[in-house]
Amino acid sequence: MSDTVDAALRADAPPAAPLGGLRDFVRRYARNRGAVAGAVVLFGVLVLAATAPLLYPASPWQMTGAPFLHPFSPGFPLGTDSLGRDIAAGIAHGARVSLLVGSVSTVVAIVIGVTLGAVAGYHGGVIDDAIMRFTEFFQTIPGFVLAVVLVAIFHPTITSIVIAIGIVSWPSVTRLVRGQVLSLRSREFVVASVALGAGTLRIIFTEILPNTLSPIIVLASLMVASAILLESALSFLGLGDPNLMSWGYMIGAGRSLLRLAWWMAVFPGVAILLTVLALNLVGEGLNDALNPRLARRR
Amino acid sequence: MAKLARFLTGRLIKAAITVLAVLVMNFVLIRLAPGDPASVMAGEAGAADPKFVAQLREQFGLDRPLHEQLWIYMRGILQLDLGYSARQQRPVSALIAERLPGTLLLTGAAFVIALGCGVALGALAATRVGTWADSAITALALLAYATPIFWVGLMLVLLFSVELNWLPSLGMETVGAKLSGLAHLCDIGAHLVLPAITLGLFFMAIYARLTRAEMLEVADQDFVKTARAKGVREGRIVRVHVLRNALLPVVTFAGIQAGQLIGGSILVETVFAWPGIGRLAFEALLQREYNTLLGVFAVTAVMVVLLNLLTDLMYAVVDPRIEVAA
Amino acid sequence: MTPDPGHAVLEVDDLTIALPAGGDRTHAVERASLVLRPRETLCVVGESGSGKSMLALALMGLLPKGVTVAGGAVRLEGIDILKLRAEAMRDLRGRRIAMIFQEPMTALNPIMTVGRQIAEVLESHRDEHGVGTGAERRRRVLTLLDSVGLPDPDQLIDSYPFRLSGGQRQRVMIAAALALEPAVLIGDEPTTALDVTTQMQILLLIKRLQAERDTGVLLITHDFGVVAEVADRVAVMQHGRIVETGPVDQILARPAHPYTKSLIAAVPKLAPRAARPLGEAIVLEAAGLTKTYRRGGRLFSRGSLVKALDRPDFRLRRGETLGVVGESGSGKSTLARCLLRLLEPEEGAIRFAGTDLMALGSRALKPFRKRVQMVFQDPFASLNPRRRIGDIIAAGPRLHGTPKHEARARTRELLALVGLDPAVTDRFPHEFSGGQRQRIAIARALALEPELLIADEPVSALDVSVQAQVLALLDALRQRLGLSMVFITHDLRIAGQICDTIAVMRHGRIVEYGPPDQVLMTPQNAYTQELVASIPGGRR
Repeated sequence: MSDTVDAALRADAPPAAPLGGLRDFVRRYARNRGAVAGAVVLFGVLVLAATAPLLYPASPWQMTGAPFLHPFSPGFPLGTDSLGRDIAAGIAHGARVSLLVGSVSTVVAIVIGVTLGAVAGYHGGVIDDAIMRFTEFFQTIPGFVLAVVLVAIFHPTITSIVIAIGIVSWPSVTRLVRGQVLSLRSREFVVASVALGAGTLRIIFTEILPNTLSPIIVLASLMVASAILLESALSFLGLGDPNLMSWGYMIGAGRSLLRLAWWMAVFPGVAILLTVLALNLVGEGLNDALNPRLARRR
Repeated sequence: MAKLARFLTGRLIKAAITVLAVLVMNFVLIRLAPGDPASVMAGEAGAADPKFVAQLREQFGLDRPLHEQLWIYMRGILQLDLGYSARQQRPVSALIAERLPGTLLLTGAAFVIALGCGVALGALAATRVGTWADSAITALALLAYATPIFWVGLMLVLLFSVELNWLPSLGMETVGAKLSGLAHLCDIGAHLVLPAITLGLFFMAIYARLTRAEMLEVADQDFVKTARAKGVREGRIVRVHVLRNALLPVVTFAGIQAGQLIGGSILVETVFAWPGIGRLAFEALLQREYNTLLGVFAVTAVMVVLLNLLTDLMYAVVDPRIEVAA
Repeated sequence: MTPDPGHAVLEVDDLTIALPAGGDRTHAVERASLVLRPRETLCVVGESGSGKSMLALALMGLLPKGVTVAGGAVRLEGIDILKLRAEAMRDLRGRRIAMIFQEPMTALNPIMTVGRQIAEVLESHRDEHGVGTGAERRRRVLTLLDSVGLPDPDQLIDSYPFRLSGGQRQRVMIAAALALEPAVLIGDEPTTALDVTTQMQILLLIKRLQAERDTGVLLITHDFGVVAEVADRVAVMQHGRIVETGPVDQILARPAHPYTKSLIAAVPKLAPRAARPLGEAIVLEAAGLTKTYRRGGRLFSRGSLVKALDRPDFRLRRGETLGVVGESGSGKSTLARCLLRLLEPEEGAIRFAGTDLMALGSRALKPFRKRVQMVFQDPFASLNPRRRIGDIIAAGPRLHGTPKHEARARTRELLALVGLDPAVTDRFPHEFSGGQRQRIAIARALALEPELLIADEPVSALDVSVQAQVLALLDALRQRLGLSMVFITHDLRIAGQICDTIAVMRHGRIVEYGPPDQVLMTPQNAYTQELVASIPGGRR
């Protein structure tokens, strides 16, 4: 028995190599080529949005050229619309609107969703039931129709659009966070924390939330993508902010002129496609990089 | 059987409560809209006529306390009175009833395409995971998922109608042609192809990816290993053990997505001038007729609730564990 | 049970199994050879990572993707099955060689009836035993259900798996495996996930069916008790190699290889400890605790009431170690959590050094947290994967006001105390093995210098050799720091070795209470007697 006691009190074999933090994360992310491509495209869109006022200082609403110019015309690589407005300028400025609306509305949805989800998951019981009924209700009613109704009734401004999209998107965040918090709450390291004497708030912030961060980040990137799709759909229907040139609006404007000027509808659509695709790829890349143990066969 | 009946009753009650909540929400939204509720209900065209507005004001009891207004509103709804469209000079409920079949046809066809093709492609990708077929399907799904529905519609119109002239681009039937019987059905069918594909494509991508993911996850589970150890043929393992278990969450998800599908029909109907309630909503938008818009919202919400009920029922029949869980 | 000394039914010759590149090992199994005869039970014993499961999967042709056979031969009834094509191998599976797995709760398809799942074996191999029509198959399934000791076969055949318990599902698996009377049955830890009493029943069932059908049984296990109970011959595996084989009597009594010796030495023996002198002071008293759960109740149905705790009263003296022994559902874990008020009992009192903990509000409870601490069962779930272990251990003292540098110094002391290098405070939990994590968990519990330690199955999730080390550590610490301990376990042998008093729990109550030699050697209660009789290898 003394051998085992000695063995017990002696140090064991040295542990494996440590987790490398940021560098390791980048390496894992880079293993997914699609995710890298997505990141590159996204970066390009960000740059375009940031430099739009420099590249096209004039407002995109201004008529800067002859109407119905074909793409690759001198000075107008993407052509002009029925009123002579530069399509390329519209796309550059539209990038700002899309990214702005996409990110702010996602932040709104996440703030609402995380709060409700954490409260529901941690407290359980009646509070959880009530919040979940409320969430289910918002998930059941057709989201896009509600967004249309909200924006129509409160008149289309960038604020009302952002809030409408946020209101329609928070349920999926709540479901995710609640699920995570519920499973973590009964995990033994949380119970151990309670046994040590930690209070509720401390437990939520030091034990639970850090372990829910990665799924929330992944969900956030996917939500920005759907927010951009939602915003473009609203603008297409004429519910965009009338002062802002947005990609959806451009497609709507080009709709009736499809035979005459196909480029009016095609290019903004490609822009939306590329941006949303990039965001989805980035989201999947983040998922694989943040949960290496869960990365399944691709 | 008794358990099933109890389960159903529970779901029905839940559905009824949801519908009621939607109606309350409508009521609140009308009150929140800028301006006096009566002029909101009258719509832009009707607001010009003061007598009409005064009549509405009395009809909705806007001088009465709030809870009485709610009661009047509810009572009206239950009698299927959704208001009046001044532009169209007809009650909203009649407009909706007229357009509803068009939307049902479109969303039904889109749903069948989306679920059928989506599950098939997803299963194909899962059984050939890692091969070029899998990569191709996954890539196409990713692409379809990232494309705005209305833009896809326009591009399909551009390709098939404008350039190739294979398929019609507008409406549900060829205007003026007085077709009947089979010829009529074929005509509607030809008009249905592009819109249904447009609406279905986005959701096909979702169901394909979900099916693939679920099948891969189920394939890793213990009972699949057991089946293999028993010497069951691979084809049967995929069909009976993997696919059937993977389909359960896919079907549930499809039910939850029903709301999105119906929402998407607004866009598709607008692009293709398809005579459904989505197009009605768009027209109401243009004309600032909020009562029509809200009527459409209420009807679509009820449709979704009923659909969810149907999905729940199907799930209860398919999954033997549900009986007890209820 | 005398095995047929004639020809072997399964021969493994120099089998090597290669793992995919990039892992920390190149081979799962290296040059393994063994022989199995009809009516013989060969136990393959090893700890986690020994390669025993891969060996079994290779014999069935079920190796996972990326894992391949790199050499050797496997002959089943004379045919080298490694050289067979996929379809030929599939035909042999279930018909001549069958396998049952460890986890019964997930081993059956949840949306297929039990009868269909057994009939599937018959359907997938036509022309066997004349089971042609559906009605004939059904009759055969009913016979099989009966032969594995399942009650009400007519009802069960159309039931879904969720209605069956773990033990019953394992019987269904056995029925399906033996439906076509294969020559070889492989069991990959088939009883590990079951309760002790169920385990014994299943082992005996396999033995009986084996005798009726002349089947050769290859049983994979980590538990030498099981070996002592059922094996005719034993093969010991370590790091992918078979280090020793031989008849069971020889291996148990005169092991040759040092690894075998250490494994056998680490098995808890049925050797109750001698009594130790203890003082009179009572440090913990539980009186009249009740806790009820409502199971299966939803919006429109009531569900059933389960009594998790039904007044399990006891008194713990200072310096005493009380063992609480029970199977799953006995209420032992619920009791542990109630003692710390991590769960709230409905009634009763918990008196710690005189004060009733039940009467305290959460504020007043906080200082008591310092005096009573807990070590949990699962070393992989009890440490926050996103925090460094230094922070984890220091968290307790910091919560109670200890300044940072003092807490850090204490952390280093504690790591040394539990046998780990004090320099590893910056590492994360996933970088440590199970045994090391459990030491970290013990360090965390001791950080607040408690008087009472509650250990909830602290070694159940560890390998046998590591178990012995951690138990020794707990014992040494207990002596050194003068701790009182409540030790929860399902293993009577372990309780007998380290506890001063044993309380046997069943359905929320204590059915037997006394010193180890009384409880283990002369149990009074019928349930305790059954538990003792179910200890595998107890007869040897």
